[in-house]
Amino acid sequence: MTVTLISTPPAVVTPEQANQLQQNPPDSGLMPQITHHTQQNVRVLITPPAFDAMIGKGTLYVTESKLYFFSLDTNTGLAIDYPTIIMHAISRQTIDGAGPCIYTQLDIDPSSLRGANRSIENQSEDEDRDEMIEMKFIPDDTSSLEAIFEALSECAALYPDKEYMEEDSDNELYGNGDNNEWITAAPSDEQELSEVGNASRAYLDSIIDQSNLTNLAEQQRTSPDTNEHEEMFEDADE
Amino acid sequence: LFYSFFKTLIGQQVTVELKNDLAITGILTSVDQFLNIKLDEIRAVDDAKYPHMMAVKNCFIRGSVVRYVQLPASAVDTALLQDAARREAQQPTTGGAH
Repeated sequence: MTVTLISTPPAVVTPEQANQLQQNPPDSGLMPQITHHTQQNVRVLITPPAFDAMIGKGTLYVTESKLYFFSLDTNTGLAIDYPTIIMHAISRQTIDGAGPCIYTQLDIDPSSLRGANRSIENQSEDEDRDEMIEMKFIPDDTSSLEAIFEALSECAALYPDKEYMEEDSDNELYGNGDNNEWITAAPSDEQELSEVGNASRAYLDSIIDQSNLTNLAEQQRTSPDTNEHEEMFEDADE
Repeated sequence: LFYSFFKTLIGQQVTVELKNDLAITGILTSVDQFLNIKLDEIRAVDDAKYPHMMAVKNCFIRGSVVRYVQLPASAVDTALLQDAARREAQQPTTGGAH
């Protein structure tokens, strides 16, 4: 969980360029970062105010390793680990002269942000007390917000948290491992949505048929009375 | 199991309470295997306390910061879920709720 001040911009390539590089690895053996989206002319605003004032306008790099922001004007920037970003969103309002932006919340110790000249780390006993650290990225080009949001979503999904990996090792059966599958309700996918919903319901229904009888007693004790419940009881009686 | 369960809730309005005490209400638009959540038409439950959220229409919430997800009672058959969870616990190697 870190936010680091950087003094050089990251070396980035697009995913297509990265594919070519993999076939012809550079001599140095160092792969540059793969960026899902790069946006120039972006301002950054941190609440509560921290060192954002000294960074100025720059370029936002949504790479697969970290979220980078770098300003050539001031030769400084930020590198943010994705697990630090607890939420990101598109804000369309104009507040205090700042236009539509990407709004993010960060999970770091607020007081550590104020020491601006060194790398900043989260101290687990010192989580946000009542303060929330917000970081807004305000691009000059408002139409880029959707693309930045999507890129952020893709890269954030690359960093599931360790507690998930330890607890739910059979989660691998649900997802595809590398390719994180988003199940969405996009208008064109309504058919698929109901299929997914139906598949889940069908699975759960199949459980009900087999074990309804044995669980009746428990349900009478613990479950609330609903119409669905009575229907279930009726099925068992048949 | 809960990944599949959340998939059945897509399109419903839920309230997500985060570990930093922020509570956000919105329509569940997507969920992934790590229970990262995307919500649409969001509003902070306590608007006055979190004015920054008023301009935000949709958001992506990292699964690890979610403390609770409040669901509409009508969307959930608790007995069904109880049963599915029990079965899942009994099948540690073959559980797969697709």
